[in-house]
Amino acid sequence: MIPAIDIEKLSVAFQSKTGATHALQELTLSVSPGIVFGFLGPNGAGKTTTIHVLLGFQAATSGTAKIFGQSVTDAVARHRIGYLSENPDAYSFLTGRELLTMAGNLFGLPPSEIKRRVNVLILETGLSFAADRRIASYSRGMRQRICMAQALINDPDLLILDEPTGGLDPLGRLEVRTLITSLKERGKTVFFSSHELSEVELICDRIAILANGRLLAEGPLGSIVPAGENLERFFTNTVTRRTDLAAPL
Amino acid sequence: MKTLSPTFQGLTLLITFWIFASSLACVLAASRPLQGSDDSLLDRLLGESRKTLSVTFYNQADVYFHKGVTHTQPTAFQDTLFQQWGNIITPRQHVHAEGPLSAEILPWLKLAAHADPHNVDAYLVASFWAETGLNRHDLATGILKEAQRLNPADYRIALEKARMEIRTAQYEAAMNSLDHASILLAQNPLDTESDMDKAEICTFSGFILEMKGLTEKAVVNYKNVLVIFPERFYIKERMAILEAGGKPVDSAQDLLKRLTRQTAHDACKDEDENHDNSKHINHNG
Amino acid sequence: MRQIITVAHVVWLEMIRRKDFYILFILLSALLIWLMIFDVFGLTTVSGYIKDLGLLAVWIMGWILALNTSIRQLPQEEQRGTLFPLLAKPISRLNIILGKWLGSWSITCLALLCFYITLWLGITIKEGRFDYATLCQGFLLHCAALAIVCAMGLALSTRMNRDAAATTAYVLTGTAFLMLPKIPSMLIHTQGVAGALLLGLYYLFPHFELFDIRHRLVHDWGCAPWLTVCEILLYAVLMTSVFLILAWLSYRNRRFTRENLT
Repeated sequence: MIPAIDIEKLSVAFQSKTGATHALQELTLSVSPGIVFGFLGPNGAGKTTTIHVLLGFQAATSGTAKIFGQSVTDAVARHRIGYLSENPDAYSFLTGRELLTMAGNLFGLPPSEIKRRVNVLILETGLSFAADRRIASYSRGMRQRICMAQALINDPDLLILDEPTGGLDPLGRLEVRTLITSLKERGKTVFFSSHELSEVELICDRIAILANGRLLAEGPLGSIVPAGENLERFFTNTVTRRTDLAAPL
Repeated sequence: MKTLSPTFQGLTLLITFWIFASSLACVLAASRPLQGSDDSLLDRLLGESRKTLSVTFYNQADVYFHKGVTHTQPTAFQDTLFQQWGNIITPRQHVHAEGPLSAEILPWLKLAAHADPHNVDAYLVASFWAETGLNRHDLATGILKEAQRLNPADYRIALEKARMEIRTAQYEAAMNSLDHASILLAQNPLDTESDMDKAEICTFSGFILEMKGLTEKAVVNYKNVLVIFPERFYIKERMAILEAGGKPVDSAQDLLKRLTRQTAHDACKDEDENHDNSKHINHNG
Repeated sequence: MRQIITVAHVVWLEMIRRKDFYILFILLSALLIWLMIFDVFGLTTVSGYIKDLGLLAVWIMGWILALNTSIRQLPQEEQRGTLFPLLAKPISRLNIILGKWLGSWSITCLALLCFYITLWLGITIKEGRFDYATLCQGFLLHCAALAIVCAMGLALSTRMNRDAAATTAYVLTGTAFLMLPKIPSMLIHTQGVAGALLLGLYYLFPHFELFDIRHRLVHDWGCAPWLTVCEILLYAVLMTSVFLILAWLSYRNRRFTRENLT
């Protein structure tokens, strides 16, 4: 089976006046289709850099990254991806409906299909009352929902979520969690980075822990977290121990 | 969405500063009015810069007289593709606006006069065009009246009025205007051209007096011309004939007509000897 | 093509919902009304000065609008974070550049058309007239000049922030428009390095003066030869392509991170 995400010895280095900064060092990772994958790590671990390489926002220094067998440098690879960024960024001068239609057009969907999907997503995200209002008038929660709808417009096989619950209230978090679960039930792959370890524990099939651009642990949640230990303690121990070792590198 | 772009913010800032500076200028102007100020709102807002604006509009009138063709400059090279295209796109012929087109010159002169009501040249040229270009004597008279109202001490307006009256054979009125111009000139001489104008006033007065048979008074005027320009042999010769009781070949009336007949096209011809309206030659100013 | 039009469509909607165009339109209308009621010694049928000052205003406004619209596109996408969802779609960066350019240029041309129609109305009310063929030619050339201006603005904004790009673009386009035609005269007295520099600028910078046939419209010179107009339009296509290629080269491998967003 072709992996949803296949990363092989991926390195990213940034050149600055003080020298090279290694954001990612030979990261190798594979995500099978149909699972919920939690991508964890402290701030500056390289989670967002990995996501940015997967989405083509930035190029890798070395190594390869593939989405469903296609190189991420090829725009076609993004046909099967839905992406929700950390902040609910949307064109504030557009209405919710216009934003979704625009996204549908960028995926090259037929106009009738766009219309159908837009209506369905507006209903599903509970934005029917505000669909024809400008996004400038939306609350943060409403923005998050319209951005989620935008990420789903192409009915993606892989959904990449960068800190999807950041800044949301408990109700909003529950909505996102429910959505991820429903997507998994529909056979979709969800790859998401998060600091909310309790969320990860609840919904993830597999996790990977990253620190200083290196992969510290990866595997099914039940097998990598020792019995009697919770994810938070395991994460803290792993990151603290391994970053001390990795620091001189 | 609700904020303006940086350029518009810049423009807003510019306008704010401009209003502030103008307000300050108003306060200063109120305490010490500018020389020659008519105390209007425009004068208070623009101050001395009105004069520059007025000169710009005045020069634009000349550009309109040449149908938008400006003087070309000598260049280091001449046959680049850009120059070839430019020469085709931008007309370079020396032509003059004629007929109804000459009316298009007047707005620029009006704008020049509006920007600086003391730009007497703008009024004079406007009245000249109204009379010779559009054959609108009434309009020309109105323009001069407006100029005189705003610049009562300027002799050039009275002189222009006299020229116009001579062209329409109103010699009595012309004589009065010349006398008026002469008095104003004595009171408020200009730095430049005053001598030239004084000589013209005396010459015109002399011719009109000659026509009225007042030869002695005419001679006095001719003598005044010679005080300013002793080399004017024609006047010298004419004066000698008159003093000898003779009759000059050219009548005073013909000379007056000839001297006041000049059109703008003639004036341009004097400035540019190479001018050939029919051949549309290059205007190498 | 559909992706390019989609990106352009967003630019159109933004422009329609912003205040820029409306402010300029009100300013133009106010200027025209003032010129129309301006008393020219009681003459009522003169309109050349309205054409002249009106066209000058239209040129300045078109220039401001084209630069403002094109320059803000890419930096604004970064600033508000909408670039990330956009880049996550299966759209190439070349298509983003082309879409942004098409959107900026076409909406500026539409605004320009409104300006020209307003001016035409003003002139018609004043009993003046435009030679329609020359007016079409003038509009066409004006649009072509704005195509270069938009491409230039976009190219500068790929590596600069909005303010820096706007300042640079205004200086460069303004200098090109005013100084380039005078370089052949300036070179008579300028030699050496300065002369070579001026010559370089003369050949490299876009010659905006070629697109300006206002004097033909104002002074009733009639149409310019269509062959020359076509050649100049071809030159505009070439210059626009050059700036768009530069924009793409500069943008295609640009790294975007949230950290460098301001």
